[in-house]
Amino acid sequence: MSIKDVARKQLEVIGLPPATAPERPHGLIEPILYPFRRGEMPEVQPPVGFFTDTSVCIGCKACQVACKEWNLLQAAETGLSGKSYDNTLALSAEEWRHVKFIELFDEMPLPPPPLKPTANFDDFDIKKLLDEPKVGHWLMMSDSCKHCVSAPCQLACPTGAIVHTEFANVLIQPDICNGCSSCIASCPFGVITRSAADGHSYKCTMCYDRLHDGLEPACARACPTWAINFGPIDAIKQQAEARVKQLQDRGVSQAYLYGDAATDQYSALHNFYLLLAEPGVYGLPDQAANPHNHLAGDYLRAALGLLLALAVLVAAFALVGG
Amino acid sequence: MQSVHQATRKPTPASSPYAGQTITKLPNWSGLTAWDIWFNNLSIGVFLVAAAGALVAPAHFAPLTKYAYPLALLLLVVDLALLVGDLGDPARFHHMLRVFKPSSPMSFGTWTLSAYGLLLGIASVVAVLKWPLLAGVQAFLASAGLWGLIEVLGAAAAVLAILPAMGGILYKGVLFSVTSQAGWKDARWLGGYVTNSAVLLGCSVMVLLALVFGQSAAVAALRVAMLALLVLDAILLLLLYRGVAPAYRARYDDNQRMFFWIIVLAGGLIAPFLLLLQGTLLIAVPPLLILPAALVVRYALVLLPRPPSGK
Repeated sequence: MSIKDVARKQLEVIGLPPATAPERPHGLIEPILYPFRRGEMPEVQPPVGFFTDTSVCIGCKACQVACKEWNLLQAAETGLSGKSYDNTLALSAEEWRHVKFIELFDEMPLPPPPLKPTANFDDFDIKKLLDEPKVGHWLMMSDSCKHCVSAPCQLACPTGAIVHTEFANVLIQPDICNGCSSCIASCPFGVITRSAADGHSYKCTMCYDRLHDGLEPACARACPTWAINFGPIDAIKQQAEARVKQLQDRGVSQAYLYGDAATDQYSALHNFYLLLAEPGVYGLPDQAANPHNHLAGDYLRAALGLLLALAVLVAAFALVGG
Repeated sequence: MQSVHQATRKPTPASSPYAGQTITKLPNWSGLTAWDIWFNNLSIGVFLVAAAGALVAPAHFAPLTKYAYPLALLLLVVDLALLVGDLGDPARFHHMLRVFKPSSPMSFGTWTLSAYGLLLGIASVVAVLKWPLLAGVQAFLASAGLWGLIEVLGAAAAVLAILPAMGGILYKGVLFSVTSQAGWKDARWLGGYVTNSAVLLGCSVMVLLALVFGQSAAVAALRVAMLALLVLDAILLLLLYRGVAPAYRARYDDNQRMFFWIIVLAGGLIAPFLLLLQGTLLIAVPPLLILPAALVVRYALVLLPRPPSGK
């Protein structure tokens, strides 16, 4: 029984009509014509996005599992880098979410705190316990596509497969992508990957199908600590700013937002983060730069090289031609 | 007693498990892509040199165009085959023609190469009809009163193809420099280098053609052009190197760098320049040095963002 058959049977069991997914183009001409057909432009919706609060992420990977389940992503081999408990290592065509584990244990050569008898709870002092020296700590971060407002991948895509959806997020249309890899080369965050199975590029869709049905993305739905917050951009920005202030008031002075606002080199992100250390600690670029900032200048320099060469040719040929 | 945040030192990027990990992902552009750039540059270089020659010095270059245009087409077919072969899903190549996006160098390149290919195809068919081998066909068309029209069509296609041909090499360097990949992203003069180098490659092939078909005046003109183009090539290569030097040093070890410099500087620039300077006695040698050296440069550039071998 194929996956399609299983899905059909499940729909029958719960009493829903069969899904009406478009048929794959078949025949000789249809696959050629199909990509040129245009559907109707959807109505623009209020922009939505993610605010990921890494200060409350516990690294449970529920988001990663929910993403794989909802999007029917293929299982992938796990592996360890030897430096972390992170066992999926990177975003890929099969992992659209990736929880990073930043272990900070090797930094402090303090011995572990001596074990104490804990039977007598009358003497238990939470403050004393909290004040005991710790041998290290973790930073966790659930990473995925940043859904850039001005996305280099979308600008670079030659087929129009990568679009900004009506919810102002970045989507790769899998039936259009031809695996040219321009998007992979452009992304400064290393998000997009080409699948070895079908040669097309993949990344987080922000559960576009769920958004259509008024549902939040699967990862945000599954997050047990509300580290992944989903909602209208303005609302989650306010929430993020309030959270930073709250943390700073409580002594976590290093808390700040990453990607909530545009810089002179890069647009704002519709998937922005509250971080507790430099971006590099989380494997993020300190200052992302949009490669397309150089487009006009690079074309001009290319044109200069060509025009100089052609001028040389014409001069040399005129010399003999005349 | 220390609090949690006092007890652990401030985390730094160097202490992170993700330290030293390349953030960006590599596209699968490698050796095949280097050949693709080389064939693209050869095709358009040959065409532009032949077309410019036919327009400026027709007496010496028009006889060469009937071989240069079909050769440029053949080189373009190889280039397009490599381009399609590089795709994750080659059967979807035509999806490139769904949209025209000036913000995408690959989209710009696809459209300009398509237009160039179409017009070059027309010019090449007319050029082939001029081959002595097909004198009978030409005579038949002339007797039917069609030959004049066909000649005009071929000439018009060749002239019209100049603009898309220019687009077809303009995008090639920009495709790499407008990315987030180590080395490429700092290669501000890659486009300038590639366009000039393409014309130099075109001159190299045309010198060989001119020698084969005994066009000594064309050889003399090409020799002068190549001398000037080699000087430009050296300047643009230096400008390009200034941008990519840190990535280049990180990517290649001392032996590899020495190999590249010997091939590129001595083989691709200095030796051809000196040989061209002495006259036309050994004129066939410089092209044979320039062509492989240009391929080596393209390989070195395309492999720049990849981790050094063995790592």
